[in-house]
Amino acid sequence: MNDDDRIEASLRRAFAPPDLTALHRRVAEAAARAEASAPTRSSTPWIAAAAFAAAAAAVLLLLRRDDAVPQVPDVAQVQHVAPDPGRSVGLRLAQLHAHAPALPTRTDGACLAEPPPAPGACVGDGPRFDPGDELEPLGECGGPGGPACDRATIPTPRLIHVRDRSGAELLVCIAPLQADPRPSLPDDAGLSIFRRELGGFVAYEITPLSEPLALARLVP
Amino acid sequence: MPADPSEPRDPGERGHPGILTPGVFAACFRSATPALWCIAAAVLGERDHAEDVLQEAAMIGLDKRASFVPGTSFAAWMGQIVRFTALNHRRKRQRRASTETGPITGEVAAPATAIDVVFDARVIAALSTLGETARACLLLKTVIELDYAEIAETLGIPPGTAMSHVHRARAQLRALLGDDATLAKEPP
Repeated sequence: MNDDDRIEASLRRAFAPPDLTALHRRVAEAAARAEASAPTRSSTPWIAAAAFAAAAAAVLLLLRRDDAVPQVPDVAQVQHVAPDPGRSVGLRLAQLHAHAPALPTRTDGACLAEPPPAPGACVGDGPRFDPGDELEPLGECGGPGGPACDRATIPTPRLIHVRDRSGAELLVCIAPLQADPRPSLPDDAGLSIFRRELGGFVAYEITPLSEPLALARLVP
Repeated sequence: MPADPSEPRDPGERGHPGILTPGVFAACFRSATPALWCIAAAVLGERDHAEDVLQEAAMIGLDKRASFVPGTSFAAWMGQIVRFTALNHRRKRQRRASTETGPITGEVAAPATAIDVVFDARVIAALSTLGETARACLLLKTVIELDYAEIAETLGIPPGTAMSHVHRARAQLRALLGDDATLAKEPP
């Protein structure tokens, strides 16, 4: 037995994990309590997520016709973007192309189902998103180090897909202010858009709820 | 150890689960425990309080599970929580008794000889001179025999860095133990 073997044998003696059965039991009990107190959610969350993504993508794709002038409030705080009956308003693709030149190459919304490769990997330039305890991250694309949004059907530099405790799924689109996509929705979309400016960025929350939840979680 | 069929399975199969429900968390925590134990012991520099740290970290992780990014490494995410929890324990302990050094206690595999007892104490003292990351790399490699890619993923460092830490740690322990290592080869 050489020196390394002696040392390694000693480390194994000194640091071999003990029997942690009791710890596992305590964690399992705590998990069971958490499970019992958690709100009921869909048993197939990714199917629901994909369905939501497809629906949101379809809505926004309809809005990409450049046949009307965007009407978006230009204020610094969170603001509801009013429905725009009778008009569809396009995302400003030309401006977005300047930041994400490889726009959509796929139409399956796969980007939304692809989490970033590591926690925080999509957080770098631009606002940081802190989901807190109220929101559950489902997917993100477009941040530094993460999957690009050019695989998504929604042409925005960065997308965050989250779910709240009630199961409502929300999309947050973030873009540089000078490339404001200015989305809006027809009044029968069943979704609302809220807008917030943070420094040199603008964020939109697309939500089935009557008030924004995710925009307040963005930290400049 | 065979998996308990009553336990929820890790849907990621390789420690990369999707949505982290409480049941999935418990299953992932169980399978990651050996690595998490080594991280706790490495940060603390001893084993006595590692289980307490794991328990506290597990409750924090369970509470903060919404921050886990689906599809990423559970061990890496939980390892960070264990590391911070262990650092807090270490700081509290240092505040309580900054000069206290005690004998190795707790549940330790029985050394074979009296020389082993002495040698183990010296190895642990030498280990405490290494950096926290080097200690974690060495314990993950030696105690639970992870490969360098697994160590890298668990600690969030490049594989080459993990390998370098292990090699340098071994060399430093050899140098520090010097004659002691040779002494330990001799029968009592």
